[in-house]
Amino acid sequence: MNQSAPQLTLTPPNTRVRLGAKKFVQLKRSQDLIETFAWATVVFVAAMFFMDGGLARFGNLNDILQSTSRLTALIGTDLLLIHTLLVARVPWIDKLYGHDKATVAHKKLGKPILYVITAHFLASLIQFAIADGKSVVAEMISLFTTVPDMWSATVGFVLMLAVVVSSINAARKKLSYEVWYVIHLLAYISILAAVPHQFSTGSDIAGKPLQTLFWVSLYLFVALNVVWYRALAPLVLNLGLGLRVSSIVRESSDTVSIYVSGRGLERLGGQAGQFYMLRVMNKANWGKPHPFSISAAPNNRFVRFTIGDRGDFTSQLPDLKVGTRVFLEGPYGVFTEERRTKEKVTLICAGVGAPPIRALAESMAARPGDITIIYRVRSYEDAALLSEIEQVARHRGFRLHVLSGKRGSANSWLPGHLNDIPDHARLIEMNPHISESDVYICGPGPWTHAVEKSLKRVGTPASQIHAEEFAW
Amino acid sequence: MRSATKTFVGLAGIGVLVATAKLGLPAAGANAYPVALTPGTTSSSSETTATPTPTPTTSTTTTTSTKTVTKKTTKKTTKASTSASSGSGTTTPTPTPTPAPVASSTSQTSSSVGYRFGTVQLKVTKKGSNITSVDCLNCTATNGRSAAFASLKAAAISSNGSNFGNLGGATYTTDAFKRALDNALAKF
Repeated sequence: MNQSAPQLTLTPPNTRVRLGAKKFVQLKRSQDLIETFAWATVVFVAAMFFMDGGLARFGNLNDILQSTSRLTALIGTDLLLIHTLLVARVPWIDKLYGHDKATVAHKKLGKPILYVITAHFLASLIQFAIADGKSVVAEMISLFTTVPDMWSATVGFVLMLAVVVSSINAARKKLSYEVWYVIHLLAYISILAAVPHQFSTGSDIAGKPLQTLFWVSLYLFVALNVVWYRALAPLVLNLGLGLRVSSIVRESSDTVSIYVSGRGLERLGGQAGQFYMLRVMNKANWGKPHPFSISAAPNNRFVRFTIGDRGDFTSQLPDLKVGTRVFLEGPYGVFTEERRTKEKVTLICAGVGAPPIRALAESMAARPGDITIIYRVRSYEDAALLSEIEQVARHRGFRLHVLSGKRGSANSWLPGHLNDIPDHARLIEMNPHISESDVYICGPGPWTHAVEKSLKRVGTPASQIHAEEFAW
Repeated sequence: MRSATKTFVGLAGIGVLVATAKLGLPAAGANAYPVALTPGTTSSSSETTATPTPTPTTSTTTTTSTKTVTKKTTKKTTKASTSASSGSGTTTPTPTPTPAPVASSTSQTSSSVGYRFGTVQLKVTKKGSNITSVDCLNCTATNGRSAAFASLKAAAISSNGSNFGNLGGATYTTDAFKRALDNALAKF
């Protein structure tokens, strides 16, 4: 634990920001474009199969199994590659959807893809077994040994099973992050192991130029994105930056700020409201990155994370040695000014949600009075970053409401002494412009949802509500 | 996705699928590769018909030699519709007639490739760099699988090599056929 905080020097705020509803429409348009493209690949593989007379072959059991096997293989593989791309930390996905939404989509796709690929595996196995008049087990052994590349495809399938099983909620609770992570890395091997049999034994690629072009480009596109954005780009950046912990400052009884510095920090290119995956490069922690929001506007002196003690890895942080090497992956997240469409802004946070709000307050383009900050704390005395937020508000002419005290009624996000009128009425009282402002909310999940409910009541459109949950 | 886009993409997708399904159906329905699992299905081409016991039999060399002459040079066609699994296999892929070839034909015979359902031995004839005919010297397959040979030969000629898709329902036969084909081609 270190010393005093470096003197609070505020970074000059952004001077230009593009506002207006058009911005939102453009975002939606880009999202639609990407999603349309993704669906088009699915339609393409199915259409090519149909063109090939796939539908005609559903006459008898043998045909049904064969056609099912082909169609599920095509669709399953296509979805699998999209599924991989979703978590490759590709900037053009993260910027449009946010890292969190992309991860949610990835999780949703996981099981359906396994079902489709399993259907492919079973259909082809049973079809082979029937055609040869053998038992399924005997057939599997002979497929393994005689048909080209079938053994590697089977290995890939088994690995895929392991990856999905280790990721279902029940297993996630029992496995440590490290074990789960290593198993999850097998997914890459699983995908690669299945490639050869698609080209050598499959009926839908070899000798069909259009399909060959499609699949080769799709594989290459995904592979390049994964290798570059997931592995090489962060590595190259961090080797150049040489980041180290430069000081650690206690902010409240359970919160510390970690200052990280290095060469040429502007190359990190983050924005207020974004987060990085922080990898502390010591023996115990190098294998496990943790997401943390920056708590001060990006500048070329330091990157600062303000982290609350949640009992896990975060409780070791106060004892971190100054000079420890760290790696940062990112920046991630769309909780930024880029999503702002209105002149007026309301920043609402509770407890651990304060850091990104503190950074946004410092960096958002605004005239005095444009921004209202609402900070929900347990007590004035023990609130992280409160004095800094007060300084920013005073300096820039923002209104600040600090709400302290025990929670009132069960569904309220306000302290008890402010519960005499409904939450949304209190919200209008604190900021009469609330329905025509952009609202940034950051706090624990249920609390955030309660605030969102009040916002809907006062008529703030969903397109103006930006929420970041802490649910790691 | 916005609902308007969703509707549009959904309808367009369904439209494409219906259209391609329609395009695919007649081509496949007309002359699909018969996957008959009942013994006794014979094919009209020159290879040995299915015999329950895969005993190698010497093939009729007379027919193969005449074939070499009558077959027209087929340019390497890369149309998807001519590929093996499109189902239009038993017919000769639409030949691109070329003026009388100047290069003389040469033939090579593959070694006999045994596999679990029989044996495949091919005689491949090339004119210049094009495969003009592929003939079965000794091709056997049990349970009507020999019906696949006609499609495989057509596929080999149209792709001018062994780069063609797996014939659905005849994976082993396709594999053995390709190995024999590659073996013969390597001798040129």
